[in-house]
Amino acid sequence: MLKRVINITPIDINFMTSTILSMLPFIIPLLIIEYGLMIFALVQAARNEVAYLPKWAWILIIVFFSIVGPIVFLIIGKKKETENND
Amino acid sequence: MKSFKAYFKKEITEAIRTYKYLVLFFGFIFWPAMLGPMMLKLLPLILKNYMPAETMQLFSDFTRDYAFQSFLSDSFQFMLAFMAFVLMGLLANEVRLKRLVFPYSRGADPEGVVLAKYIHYAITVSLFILIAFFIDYLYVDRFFTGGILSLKILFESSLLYILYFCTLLSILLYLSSLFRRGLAAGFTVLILGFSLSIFNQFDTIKAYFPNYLILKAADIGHVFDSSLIPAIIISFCLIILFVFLSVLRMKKIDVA
Repeated sequence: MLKRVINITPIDINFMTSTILSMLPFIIPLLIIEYGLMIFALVQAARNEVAYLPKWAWILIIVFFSIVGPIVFLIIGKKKETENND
Repeated sequence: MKSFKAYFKKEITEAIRTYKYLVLFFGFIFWPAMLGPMMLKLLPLILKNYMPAETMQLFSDFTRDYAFQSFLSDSFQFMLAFMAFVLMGLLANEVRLKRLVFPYSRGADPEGVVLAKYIHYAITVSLFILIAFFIDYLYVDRFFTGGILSLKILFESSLLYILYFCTLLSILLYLSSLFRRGLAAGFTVLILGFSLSIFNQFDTIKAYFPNYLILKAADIGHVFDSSLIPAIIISFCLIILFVFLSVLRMKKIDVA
């Protein structure tokens, strides 16, 4: 069983590489969207007042929790104008 | 009609300003339709050297139909969670933050406000579901082979999903008018959505619940048949009922 776990042959690596390369046209748009969202959320966090957590904590969440972090920030992290007035 | 038009435009502006479209895009399209098929394709390659050959045999038989069913299962969970938590404050926030005082004092009618909110998000959710299904088809068709999946089946399944999520949206809208905090409405709809699936285990009654629409959407090759009629009628009745109840609630509620 242990032998099986470490048994990665050059043929396997070649096969994986060729499969991933063939999927590249579909992977690239995903990466662009993912990093685009992260940059957008970072800009929003830097420019606006934030809620619930300090700004540096939101920035860490956005950077280290891919996709989830920026989305959570956009839903609850930005301080709403109406809440400022309350 | 004047209130409806004004609130419809306001909802679009509000959705852009609060990034609701962006977040719904990730929950409805990016995760289940774009990332899902990709992971399904890459998973066997990643696990190949860490799993016994017999188990890996199961992964090698993925067809387009299986990939599409996997997408349906993922998308149900993602779409339900994202819809519940993004749209949970539809009416609750309006009341809690006293945003209705000024419109009501200027003569806005509750029917217009509720209908504008419901119709706007019903259109949004429907469009996102349609786009998600077609993008998933593009990915599934590119990465997998075999199976009988076609654009016709895909379109039929997407219509059932649209009807189901429009039904849940009407329930969410009503619950949002009941609770002062949107989170309570969001959690209730989430629990309702998952718990109603239990009725799919009972053959005699399952056809009378909206969740039967989800079950049939995954039945590739037999998506539309006469067994769907009760679930479709009940779903439309629920939509009318909950939108009507929301209007009644918004008429009675103290907005000041």
